[in-house]
Amino acid sequence: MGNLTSVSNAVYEMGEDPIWISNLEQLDDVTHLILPGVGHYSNAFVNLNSIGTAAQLVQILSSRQIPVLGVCLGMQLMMEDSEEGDGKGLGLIPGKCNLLQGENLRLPHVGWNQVVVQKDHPVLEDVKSDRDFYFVHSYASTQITEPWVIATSFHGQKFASIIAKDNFIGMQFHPEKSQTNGLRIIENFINWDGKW
Amino acid sequence: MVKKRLIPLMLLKDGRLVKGKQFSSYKDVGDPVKSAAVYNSQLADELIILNIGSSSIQPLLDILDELSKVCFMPIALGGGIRSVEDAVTLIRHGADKVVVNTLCKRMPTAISRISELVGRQALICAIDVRWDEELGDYVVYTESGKCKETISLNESIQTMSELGAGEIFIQSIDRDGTAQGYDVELASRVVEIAPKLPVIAAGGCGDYRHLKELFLDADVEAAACGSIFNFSDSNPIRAKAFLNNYDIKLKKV
Repeated sequence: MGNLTSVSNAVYEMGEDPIWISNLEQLDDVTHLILPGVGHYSNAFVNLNSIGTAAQLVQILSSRQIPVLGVCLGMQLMMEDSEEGDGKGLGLIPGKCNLLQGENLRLPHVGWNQVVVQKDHPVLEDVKSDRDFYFVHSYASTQITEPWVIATSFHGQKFASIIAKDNFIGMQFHPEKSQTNGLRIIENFINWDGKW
Repeated sequence: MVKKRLIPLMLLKDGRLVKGKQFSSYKDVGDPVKSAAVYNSQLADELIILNIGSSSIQPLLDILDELSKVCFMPIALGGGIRSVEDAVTLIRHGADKVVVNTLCKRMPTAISRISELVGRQALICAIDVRWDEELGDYVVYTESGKCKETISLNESIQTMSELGAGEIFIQSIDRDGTAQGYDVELASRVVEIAPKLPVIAAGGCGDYRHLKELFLDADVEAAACGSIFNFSDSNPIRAKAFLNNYDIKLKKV
């Protein structure tokens, strides 16, 4: 997928060498994991299951505590569930996703939109609030008052644009396509030790 | 609220960027990858690169790898897409969106298939028009302005919308390269016909005031800019500084 290339290019631009992994053994060699993704929830889940079982993956990521960044669909997969698909999410961060609602709402939500930071997080260091990031999605988590919500955005309704728990962080927008501010987030992530 | 976008429009011919007037007399205006890197640093909101030199997507594929290493914003590619496979190949190699024009008329079923496969958000349908004085209406052209179509502008847009277009790119051939300003009436008309689709207007921008007129008088989502950035020291940063005075909502960095 093209998205994988864009994320890799962004990581490389920020000074680290990305590898694409296709099985769980390769996880031993990585210090940080990014789950990218644009597409359908169910397909992504099938792809993920081809790497290893979801349960094994969750077990490794939680015990090794390597920082994990989920982008767009990758973020949704980190959560418990989505209206979009049959497969359950990984449940690394609580919550679920639903189709955004609103009168005459244009979906998918595509373009540059504001991200309002609600809580500090090391991955957001030197990133100002109310800046615009690039979004492409139709589903989102609207449970905005939950403790894992780090930033919110608005399209038809308010939704969580950044969520985090322990060594896991997810973003509904695409940092790899969001120029200066997006690259800063990628840089912060690859320098993050997973603690906060 | 999604922000309005400024999109440098780059025309690719024989591995170089060119800019013409009313779809002819093209001049060399630089290297595609280097220009894209500059636009990235000038915080453009998106890039549209149209291949006008050949009837295959190869020239686009030739620059795509390098392009996606310097461009951390959405990239839309078109010109020479002749099949579903062409479109999917470009997306798989890193394009965020594809732009189709002639294919919409020659193979409408391919358009709906592309929309299904890559998603509506990744499909821009383009229409080039010339004003016909006798007819008192716009006439739709394909094949880079060479082929006159019988379908009306309204019908053309409606069909694209039904086929699964994610955005409509409307270009005035009469204004192209003239730097006389956008055809705001044309843009407004397209917005009226397809109120649910984001509209990108192209052709005629030569001054920041033209951008202001377009955004204030037509409800378009984006303005594509060729000459203004190719032939003057204007750039997206300065354009935005100007537009900020008129309460036009643009990306904040």
